[in-house]
Amino acid sequence: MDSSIKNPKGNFLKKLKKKKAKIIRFIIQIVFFVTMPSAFTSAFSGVKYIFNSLGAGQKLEITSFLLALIALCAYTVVFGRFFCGYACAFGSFGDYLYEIGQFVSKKIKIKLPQIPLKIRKALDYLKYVILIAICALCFLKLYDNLRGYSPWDVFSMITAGNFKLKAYILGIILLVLIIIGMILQERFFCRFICPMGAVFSLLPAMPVTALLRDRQNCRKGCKACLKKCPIDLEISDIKEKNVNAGCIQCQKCVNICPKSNIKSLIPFIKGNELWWLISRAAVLMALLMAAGI
Amino acid sequence: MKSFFIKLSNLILVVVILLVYNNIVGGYYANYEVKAAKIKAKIEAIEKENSSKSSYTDGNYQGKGSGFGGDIVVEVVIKKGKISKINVLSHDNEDDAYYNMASDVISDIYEAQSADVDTISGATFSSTGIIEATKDALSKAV
Repeated sequence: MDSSIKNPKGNFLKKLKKKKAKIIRFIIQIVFFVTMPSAFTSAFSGVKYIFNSLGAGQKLEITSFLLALIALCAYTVVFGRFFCGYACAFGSFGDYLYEIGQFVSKKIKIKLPQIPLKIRKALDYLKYVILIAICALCFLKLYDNLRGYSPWDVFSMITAGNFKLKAYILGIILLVLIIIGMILQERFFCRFICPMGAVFSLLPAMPVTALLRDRQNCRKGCKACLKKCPIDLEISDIKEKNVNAGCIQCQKCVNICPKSNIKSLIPFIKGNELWWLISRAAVLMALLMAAGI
Repeated sequence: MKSFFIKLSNLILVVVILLVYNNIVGGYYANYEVKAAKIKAKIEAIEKENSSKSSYTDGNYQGKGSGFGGDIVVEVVIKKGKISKINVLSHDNEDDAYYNMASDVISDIYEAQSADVDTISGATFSSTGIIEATKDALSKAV
């Protein structure tokens, strides 16, 4: 007889163990969401500040925005886009919406429409266009005319408890469209739109902490990691050491791999270990606090 | 690995460009600041002659303005007809990083002796809140 039927509690614990990494991720995301909801806008304000100053011919001073930007970029070079996967309030917001959408669609047994893979792959480049556009607008001193257009501002105002949103009609419409996208497609905003994500993707992330796999050891025809990946990334071989710029270090591939074949280059560390997740989050938290967020 | 080195050299290039830019602009500004200080001294001398028409009534006045996450309340202290101190009494819902940037506007207000100053770019909401609150307080001091 199956032991799980004899011992339902054991089954529950087994399930819990399997979901351990998922639960830890959820807790870390909640902690950052509550304590640092504006980390992403502060850092991106640093980018806008640089281009505003360049456009105005002003000297760059080390402001708290610039510090936040430098801190997050330095962190991303060492640990990859762990910030995106575990700490960004907007990313977490998207994860909640997607999970709720999936839960509801399972309950009512209606499959949500999906964006076709080809279009998804093409849309991956949209974020660079948006980044360049915003930088150009800042440089030309036109960005301030667009006050009220930013869905980020609307989101961070709502999370700060400010509902005086009269002047933000367009920002609200954009936010609603993004919310619909977030429900249909996991990490919709992070993949396609986020200009901060575009900056992170352009950084030289060190291959040491990136997730790689030993392809020779893979089961033939197994595509579990590719199917689980929110960004549709194919993990590169351990010999090539190519870092996927889009990888947000969500660790879903590490969790799903039936052969535990996905790991970082650091010996004995795969990526989803409890202590390793928590210490990376702690380093990030300390760094952001030091930067004054 | 190849893309890593390409990105690394790009990053180094960007940082070097920004540092060089800062040095050039910094040198230019140092020159400019000396001139600006001379002009400022002249203006101040003229203002001193005209200072007999002091504008505000002495006392403490409170004012309210709306910032990023809600209301900002300030207290303006007027001594000898001049703005001598601005205390921010509450800024509960402001984000710290933004608020710290925005509070620079207070020293601008001292300098100008008026709330007609520019907002701090990048922290428009919070600095607008402080300016509005100061204007509100000053309107009671006339």
